[in-house]
Amino acid sequence: MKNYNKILVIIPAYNEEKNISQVINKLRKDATFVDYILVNDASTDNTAEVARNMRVPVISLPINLGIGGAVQTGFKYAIENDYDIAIQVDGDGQHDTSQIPKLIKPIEEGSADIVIGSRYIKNSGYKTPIMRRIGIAFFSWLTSIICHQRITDSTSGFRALNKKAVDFFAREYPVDFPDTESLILLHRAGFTIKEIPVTMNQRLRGASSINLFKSIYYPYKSLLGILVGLLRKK
Amino acid sequence: MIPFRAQIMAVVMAVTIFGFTFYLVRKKKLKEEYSVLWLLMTILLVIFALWSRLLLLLTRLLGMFNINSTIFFFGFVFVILTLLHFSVKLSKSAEGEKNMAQKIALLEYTIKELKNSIAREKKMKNGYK
Repeated sequence: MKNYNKILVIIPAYNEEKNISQVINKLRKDATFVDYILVNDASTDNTAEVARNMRVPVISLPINLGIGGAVQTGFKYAIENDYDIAIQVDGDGQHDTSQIPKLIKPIEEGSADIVIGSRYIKNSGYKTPIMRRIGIAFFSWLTSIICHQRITDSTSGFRALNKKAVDFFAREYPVDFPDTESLILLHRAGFTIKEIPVTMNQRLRGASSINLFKSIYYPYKSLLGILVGLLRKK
Repeated sequence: MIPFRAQIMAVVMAVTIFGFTFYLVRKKKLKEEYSVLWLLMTILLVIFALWSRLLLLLTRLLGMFNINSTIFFFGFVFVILTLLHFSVKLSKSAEGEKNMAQKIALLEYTIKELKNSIAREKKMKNGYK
């Protein structure tokens, strides 16, 4: 490859002091060709300090915006600093950063604007609780219909985007329910979406941000978001 | 017809709310924009209290059983519209808050970077002395 792309890995993190060092160490080993930035979503623990001590650049949000708002901050940073590709990696260690080259390949080849790392294209052995699996299947099905394209893991947060898509998201991003709605938004704006199979790890430590209340409220809210999004003017 | 005492009650209520809204705007505790809704409501309240035939007419027109239902109906409509209005405002302000938080975070990061690079430069210069 002759002209190198400037690549940024965005790590949104909320109270991940126990996981973050492992995530960063792994990222440093796996992907030496990228820059990274940690977006600290007003954590109440030492996430930011741990990252700074490891000499990771940290952007600290003054108030908690949720993962969508944190990721969008990263997109805005990517645009300000003229990055060609942005990759979104969760701060909890679920995403296997060794698969980053695979993830950005379609973008470098120019065959996609956004690439999603899917858990479900082939059986990767990732175990998901049954209810969540049903939820993911439902939203993937819905996204597939709306986008006229088979999407198996619309809720995956392991994604790579080219500059055009990042620029789009820096201006407009559905921060309340980013996963599925953002795909539909991109599709309607004429971007090309591609999925590649990846394996994911279970969370390293600590609880997922999804609790019982959220597991009921989230699908409802996202469904509403999608339907309203469809009615919105292009 | 509306009993006289009820009429007085309604007018007193309306005038009180009107006065209080006015006071809040003057003290700059309430934005003019939000006061419009309240002032309008109190004016309507006075009109309906004094001109009860209008209320009766409205009741017939809407096919309600009695005046009370009409009053409660419009009261509810008003409250619901107000809440919707607030939801809209809240959404807008949340969007602004989000953008501002992101901007602050990015600026803060840039400032820190700049400070560091200035410090580094100073160190370099001092080192050459």
